[in-house]
Amino acid sequence: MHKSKKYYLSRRIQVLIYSYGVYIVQVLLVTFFMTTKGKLLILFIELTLVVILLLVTYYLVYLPYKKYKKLLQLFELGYIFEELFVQPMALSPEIDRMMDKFGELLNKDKLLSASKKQAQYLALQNQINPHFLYNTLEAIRSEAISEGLTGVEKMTEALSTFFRYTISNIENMVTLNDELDNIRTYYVIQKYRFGDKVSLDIRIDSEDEETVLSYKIPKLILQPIVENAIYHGIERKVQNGHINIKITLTYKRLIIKISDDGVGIAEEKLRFMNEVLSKAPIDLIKLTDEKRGGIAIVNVNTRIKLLFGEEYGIVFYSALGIGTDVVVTLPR
Amino acid sequence: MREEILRIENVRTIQKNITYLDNFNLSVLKGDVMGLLVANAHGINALMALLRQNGQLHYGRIEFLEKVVNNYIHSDYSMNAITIIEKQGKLINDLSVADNIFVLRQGYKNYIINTKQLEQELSRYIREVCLEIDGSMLISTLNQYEKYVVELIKAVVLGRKLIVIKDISSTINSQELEKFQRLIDKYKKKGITFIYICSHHEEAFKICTSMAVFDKGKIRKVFEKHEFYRENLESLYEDTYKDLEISEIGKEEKEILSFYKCKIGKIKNLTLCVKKGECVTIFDKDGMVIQDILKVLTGESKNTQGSIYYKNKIFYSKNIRHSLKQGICIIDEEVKGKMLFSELNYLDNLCFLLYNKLPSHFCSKIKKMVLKEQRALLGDVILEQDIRNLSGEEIISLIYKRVYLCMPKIVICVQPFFGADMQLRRHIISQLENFKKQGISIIILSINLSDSLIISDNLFIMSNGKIFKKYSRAEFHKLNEEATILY
Repeated sequence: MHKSKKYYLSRRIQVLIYSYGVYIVQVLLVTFFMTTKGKLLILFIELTLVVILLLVTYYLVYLPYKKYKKLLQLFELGYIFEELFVQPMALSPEIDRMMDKFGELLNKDKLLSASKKQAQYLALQNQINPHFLYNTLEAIRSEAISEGLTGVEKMTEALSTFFRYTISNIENMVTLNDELDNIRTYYVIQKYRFGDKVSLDIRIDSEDEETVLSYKIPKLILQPIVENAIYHGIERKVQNGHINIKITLTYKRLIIKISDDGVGIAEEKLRFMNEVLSKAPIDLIKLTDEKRGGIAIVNVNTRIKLLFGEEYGIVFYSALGIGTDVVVTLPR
Repeated sequence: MREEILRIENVRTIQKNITYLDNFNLSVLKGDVMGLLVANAHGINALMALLRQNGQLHYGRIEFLEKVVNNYIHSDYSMNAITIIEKQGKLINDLSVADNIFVLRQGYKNYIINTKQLEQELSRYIREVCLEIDGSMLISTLNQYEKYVVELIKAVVLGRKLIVIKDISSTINSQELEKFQRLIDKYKKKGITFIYICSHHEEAFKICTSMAVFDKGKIRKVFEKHEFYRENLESLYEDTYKDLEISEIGKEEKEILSFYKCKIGKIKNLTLCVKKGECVTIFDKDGMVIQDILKVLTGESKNTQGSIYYKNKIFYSKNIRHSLKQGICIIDEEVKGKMLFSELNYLDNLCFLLYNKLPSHFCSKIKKMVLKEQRALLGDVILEQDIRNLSGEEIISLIYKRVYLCMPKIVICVQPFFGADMQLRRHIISQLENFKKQGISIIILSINLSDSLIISDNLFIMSNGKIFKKYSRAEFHKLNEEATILY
C-alpha cells in the first residue's frame, strides 16, 4: 500500500489546546493590567485573535475531521477501500500504525491474486488438458478440410483460436486489438448458433485508431460482457439483436461501451448489479456466488478496480425492452 | 483523442431522505450535443443544481474539463462555468441586451461603460446568429426566442465550454426551435459542448449526437446517432402509454363551439367547429394566435368580422367569470405557478371554481360534499394542507378535477404538456381522455405538437394568422412533426 507523509489530527488538536490556553492566560493578564486608555484597541485585537483561532480550528481540525468521518462512513457502507489507506491525514500516530497493520493484512496484491484465481477458475473450469483440446480441435479441422466441410473447418478454427486465447496467461495485459480479435472470434462461434439473430459492430471514436488499438488492457474483460449481452439480452428477444462496441479515448481514460438492443434488465436487478459493481474490491471478493448474482462481470470489475483504482470499473445502464449498455472505464 | 468536458461518476444525492440522483453516470465529450430525454423528471432539478454549483454528494465524483470539481469526500460549493438556458432566464429585464451580455459578467472592471463599443462588439455576434435586434433594446421587449439567443450569445462571450439547454421547445414555436437548433449546430462545430434536455425523442434526434434516457434520477440507456430510431424507444412509449384507450368522437355529435370566417386580432378568416366530446388541437406554428383565441373566449376582446357560435347561439362573454358560468373553462400552461394558490389547502384549491360559480353561503356545504365524494376517488391527498408537498401528478389531478367539478361544456387547454416529463404527459392525456368520455369538448392551443395528437380528433395548423392545413385523426400519420401519435 502506498505510504506518504501524513499529518495527524491529534497533534493539531494538541497545538490548538496549547494556543487556546496561552490565549486565555493572555486575556486574563490583559484584563488585569488593562487601563481605560486603548481599551477599544485591545478589545479589537482580542476579538481578531479569537476569530483567527476559530478559523484555524475550523480549517485545520473540523474540515479534515469531517472528510475523514465521511470516508469512514463510506468504508463502512462498502463503497471505498483503498482510499482509506492513502489519505494524507490520520487521527493519531497510533491509529495510523494500526491502519497500516490492517492494510497489510488486506494486501491488495493478495486480493488481486484471489481475483485472478477466480478468473482463472472460470476460464479453466472445463479444462482437462489444453494441449489435448487443441490437438483434438486441430484433428477435427484437418478432417473437415479433407472432407470439404468448410463450415465445420471454420468453426473448429474459431473455437481453437478462442480457447488458445482464453486459457493461456490469464493474468497478462493484452492489447485492445487482441481483445477485440477475441471478441470477433467469439462472435464467429456464436454466429454458427444464432445465425443472423446476432450482429456485431465495433466502432473506434478516435482519429488515431492504431494508437487506441495498441493500448494495454487486462485480458478477457470484454468477452464476458459480450457473452452476457447475447445470452441475457438478445437470445431472449424475438427479433434480431445488435451488439455495438464503441471505443473512445479521452485525455485520461479509455472508455469501452458495449451496448445491445436486447430485452434489458429489470429495474430491481439493475439497481442490485450497479450497487455490487460500485462496491470496493474488498467487499466484492468477500461476496458469495449467490450474492454476486453468478456474474463473471463482477470479477472483471474487481480486477479493474484492484489494478487501476476504485474510480475505474464497470457501470450498467438498462431499460426493459430497450436494451443494455455496459461501460468499461480504464485509465489511459 | 477527445476531451471529456463533463464526467459524472456514480453520483448519488440524498436530501431529506429522498434520493434524487441514484448511481448517476454521464460522460459528455467535447463538441457533442448530448440529449437528455426525460422519461421521469424526478431528480432533474438536483442534476441542474449540481451542474451549476458543486453541492454535497452522498457518493460519486464529478469532473469538469478533465478536473475533479466535486467528490463525495468534500464539496466546496464553488460555481461551475456552465450556462443553463431555460425558461426562467438569468437576464435582467430592465437592462439592455449589450449590458446583459458584456457588463453583467465576472471580470468586467470598466468604471465607464462605452455603450457604442459594446453595441459594435455585440453586432458581430448578432450577425452571426441572424437576429434582428440591437444592443440597446431592453430584455423585457424581446420575445422568448430572442431571450434564448441572447443567453446563448452571453454564454459564448463568457467562453463557456458547456451549455445546457433545458426544455425550450414548449416555450418557442417550431420555426424558432428549428432556428435555435441550427445555432446549436453552428456553435457545436466551434467546439462548444451542449446538453440538450427535452421530453421528446424526435426533438432530440434532430440535433443530438447521442441521447441518454433520464428516468427517476438515473440514466437508463445511451443511444448513439446511428441508433436514433423510434423503434429503439418503442418500449419506453409502450410502458408510458400502455392501457391508454383513446375514444373517438361519434359523427352525429352536436356542435358546441364554432367560428365562422372570424377575424380576431391577428387571426384572419378562422372557420372551425368543435363537436361535443371532441378534441381539437390548434397548432400555432408562429406563436401568433393563442392569445387572440383566449382573449375572445374570455370576453377580453371581440371578433371584428364573422361570427362565433356557442351551443348554437351567438357567443357573448363579458369576462372570464361569465365564460366560466357558460361552461367554458381554461387550463393555463404552467398550472403549478398560475392555477394553484399555495396559501390554500388542497380542498380549497379543488373547490375554488365552485365557490365562484355558486353563492358564498354554500361554500362550507360544497366543501363537505366534495370531500365526501372525492376522497374515495382521490384518496387522502385531498386532506393535504400544504399543496407544495404535492407531486406533479397530484397537481395535475387537482387542476383537472377542479375543472371537471364545474361541469364545463368545453375546456381550453393552453400548452397542456408544457414542461411535463413522459410520465406526467401520460397522466395529462388520461385526464383529457376523462373529459372526452364525459362529453366535454377540448381545444388544445399549442405551439408544438408534442403529445397533443394522441388525444386529438382534429388538428388545425395555423401559420401567419390563418389555417394553413387541417388533418383528421386518420391523416395524422402524414405529419412529419415531433409528435407522438398512437393508433
